[in-house]
Amino acid sequence: MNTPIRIQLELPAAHRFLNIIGGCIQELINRTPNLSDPESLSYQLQLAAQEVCANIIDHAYQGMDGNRIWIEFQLDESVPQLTALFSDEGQPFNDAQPTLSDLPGEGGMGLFLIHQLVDHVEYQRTQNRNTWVLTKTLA
Amino acid sequence: MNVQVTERVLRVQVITLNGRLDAFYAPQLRKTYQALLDAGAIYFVLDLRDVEFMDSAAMAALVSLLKQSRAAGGTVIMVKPVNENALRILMLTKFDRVFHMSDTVDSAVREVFA
Repeated sequence: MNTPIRIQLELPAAHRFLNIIGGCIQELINRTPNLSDPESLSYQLQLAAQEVCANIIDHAYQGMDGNRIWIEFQLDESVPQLTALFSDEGQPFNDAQPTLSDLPGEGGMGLFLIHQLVDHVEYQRTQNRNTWVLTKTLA
Repeated sequence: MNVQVTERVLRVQVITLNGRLDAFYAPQLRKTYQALLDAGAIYFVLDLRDVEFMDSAAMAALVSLLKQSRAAGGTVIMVKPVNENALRILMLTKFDRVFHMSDTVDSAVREVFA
């Protein structure tokens, strides 16, 4: 069994730095061998990560400056599968079911997208920390 | 992201966007079209041909323009992104059901008054 490749990021919780996460995912996917559609996989993972982090900034931290987001990517090339963990120390997430309202853009779209774009989504609240775990098979 | 606004025939405002359209740039987009709405514009073409990435914050900004335009008696026609992944997300989120979509700016301008 291969040991997963681990990449860790720690970012200020602000919209202006979200593109750094996307860039990291893109480069990780670019150099993962034998993927059938790396461009689509990269796009889907970037968007899911963007939505999780925007949710952390806007809701967990309620847009306040001076906070951090901790991210860890675990790439298991033997499957291949990517697991992405996103942690914050903000307010707990209100665990609503993701639904898409009749008029898109009126709320719930970010969570809906996350669930559509990856295989598995898990949310944990441990002490004062939120952790989102996203898993996607790169096939 | 760059935002460019041009006025076409019959007071149709063409908003051309490109690159990455996300939560960081969404406020700039909202500010741009709000100024046009405040000046009385109600007919818009959203040219997304060169948009490479969109998140839900950006898409919410597009829907807000549509709602305000329609409330004022106008409309918004969207020119589809060329990027297949960006287009796929628009379909996944049912944007094709609320926006009229077109392939080119010229056809979109014609559809404003169709």
